[in-house]
Amino acid sequence: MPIPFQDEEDLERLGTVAFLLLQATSEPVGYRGALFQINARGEPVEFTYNRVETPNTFLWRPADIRRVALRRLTASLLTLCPRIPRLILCLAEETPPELFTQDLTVMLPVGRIARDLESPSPAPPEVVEPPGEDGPAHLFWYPAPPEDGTSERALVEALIRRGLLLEPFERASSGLSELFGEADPAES
Amino acid sequence: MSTNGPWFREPELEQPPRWLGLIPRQPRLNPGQPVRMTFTAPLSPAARHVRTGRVELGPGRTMRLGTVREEQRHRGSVYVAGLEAFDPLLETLQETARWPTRETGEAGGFGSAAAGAPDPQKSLARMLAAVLQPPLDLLLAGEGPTEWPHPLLPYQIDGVRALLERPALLLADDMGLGKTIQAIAALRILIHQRRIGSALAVVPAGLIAQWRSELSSWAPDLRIATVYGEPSDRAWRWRAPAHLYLTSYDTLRMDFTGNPHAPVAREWDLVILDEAQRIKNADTDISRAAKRLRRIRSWALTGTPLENSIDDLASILQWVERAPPRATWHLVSAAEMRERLSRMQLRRRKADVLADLPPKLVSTLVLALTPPQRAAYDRAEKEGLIELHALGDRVRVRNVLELIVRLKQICNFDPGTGRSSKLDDLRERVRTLVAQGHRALVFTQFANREDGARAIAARLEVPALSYTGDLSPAERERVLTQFRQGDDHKVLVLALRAGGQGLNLQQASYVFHFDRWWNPAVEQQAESRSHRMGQTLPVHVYAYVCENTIEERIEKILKEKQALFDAIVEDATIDIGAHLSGDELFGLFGLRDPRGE
Repeated sequence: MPIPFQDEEDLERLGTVAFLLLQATSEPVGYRGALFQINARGEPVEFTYNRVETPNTFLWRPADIRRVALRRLTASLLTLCPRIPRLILCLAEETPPELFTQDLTVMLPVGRIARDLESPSPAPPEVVEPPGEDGPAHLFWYPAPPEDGTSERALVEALIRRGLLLEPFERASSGLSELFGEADPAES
Repeated sequence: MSTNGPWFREPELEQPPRWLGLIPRQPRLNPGQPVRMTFTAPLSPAARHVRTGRVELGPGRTMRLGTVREEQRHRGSVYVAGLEAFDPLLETLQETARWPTRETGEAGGFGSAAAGAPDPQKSLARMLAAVLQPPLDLLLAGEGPTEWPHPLLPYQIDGVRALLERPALLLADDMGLGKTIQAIAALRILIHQRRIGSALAVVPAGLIAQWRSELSSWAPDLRIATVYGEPSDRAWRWRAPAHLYLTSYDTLRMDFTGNPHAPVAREWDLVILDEAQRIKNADTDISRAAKRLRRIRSWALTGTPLENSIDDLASILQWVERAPPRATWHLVSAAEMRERLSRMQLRRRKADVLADLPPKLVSTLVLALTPPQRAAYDRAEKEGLIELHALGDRVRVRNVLELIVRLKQICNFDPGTGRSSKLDDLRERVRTLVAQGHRALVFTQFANREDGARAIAARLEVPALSYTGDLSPAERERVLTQFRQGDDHKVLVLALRAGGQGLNLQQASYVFHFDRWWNPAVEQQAESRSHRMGQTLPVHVYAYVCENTIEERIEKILKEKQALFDAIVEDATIDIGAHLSGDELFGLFGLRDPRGE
């Protein structure tokens, strides 16, 4: 019977963070996505991926198609994810706010990362967290930013300190490129 | 259709009315099947499982707990258990290593068939495991999974990058710049990136403890198997799962038999040779064994790749390049060798990369022999010459070398009275230095009890430790710890062969060469035990030479040789026994080589 203990320096206890990457594709027309979980050290833990083809027709507005496709794609990724992360982070430029504020209900903080405030903007229910001293970007949190003193907040701080707030998206993108080919110029 | 998970919910979509009552307004999608890859943490420490006085090594295999404790006492954290948890990981790592990555330029990617990886899903998992690892910059910065005990210096980062990028490299940095650290850091990153599964490091026996210490600091998450001891012990150590197998040159020679199924005969992802000048002679068993190791990557570490002749360098480069033996190295021009070196060697000098390293001040102390020594010396030289003449055509180089050794011993101590001008001078100097709080190293080529390292330590009249090749690994470690950390012994007398390479002794800022090895590269190696990274004081080096003796005469010849070899590799020098020509050796005593050697 092991003696219960907790190593305060053990980053494992901070849990994992899931980076949601969504990319539009033109061949085939649709979207591809990955949910990439890493621990606070940046080590990969889970990589879930999928793609969805969308109809190429004038019958539906592109925005409607995109919304439905991202919803289905994200739901499929979350469905298969066996390990509950502490947070979900995604890029504001490719993830519409309604995905998590209206279409999907997630029981953990979701942060959309905006590298600049020019193009993406927060939706009304989201809470804006400006970049701190070391932070590289704005964060739009829903339903609320992680509170101070929580593991979620410690995890965010660890990621920022280690330069891991944006970098895992590049790895996830490389993973998708290995799986489905290089990203194409289709707009998301 | 709605989807619900334990931590998210997708509400049912309300179907909008149809267009014109015919076409659904909800677009039909063609979703793919989601796929998940799970990556087990490769470096999580395995628990030791100890039960009923024995440690489990695997199914049906145990080891006595007392033996384990003894191992740990001598060797640090020896890995002995947790095999069940580690075996699948090892398999994963080995499969990953076989998987070609984009970096190699070979085929890879979804669904492509790689050699030895027929299962597309497994291949895919391996590829993703490599692609999704943290980037090199993050690993080198120590911000990701690899935290370093100290930040790597810029030149060390360059060195690690070079090791990672090249499957074959001779890392020939000046002694003391941290070649071991660079190799360990690069090894650790390769393991983290799933680019290799397991590696072999061959080091001089005296440096195994130091390697273990550096590994525990710079790669604490790697599993190490130290292969040493009796054949039965070595057999299971070779089979223990580990990221790195650490062994000595002699063990490699003994265990590398012709048996293709021997553990050491496996194909290694990486082989590291520390102090690679050990294979400078292509005709030795050690050299042959090292060159027969099957390996994907070859890293040779040495500060002195050329000690004696171009053949030294050729032998090391042959190992690095995995080139076939070549009998005509003596025909290779300096320019050609330089060109090969420029492709295979990474070399940085202390002066270039460690601007803050205190200077090294070298002085020669020319002493007169004591009267009894002089008498004994003159008598021995005269008798020796008579013997050489008497041998006539039967005289051989070996006879000359025996006379040289005899004369050098007399330069150290008078065989009759034990008087020594060197010891008298050294005694005065170390007494002053110790009183001032300094620590000193004394190197001698002799290890015997009469006039070797122990005799010098015993006669210094200040507490001194001795470090010789006949000490066990545990005794060596104890001596070094006493010297580094204790205040009772501030002088360490080392046999050059045992302590002249690899040790970190920056605590000392004074170095004495009690006698000369006649090989500047070896002397510089010894001086670099003190003059290396971490040294905060100027290092004073004193080399004793007795006037009007063999020591003066040979030094003159060596200086001429040094200039010649500097043209190829700056630290190049020669070794008297093997590489002074017969004419030069006989010329020391005014003789001619009867065979025209």
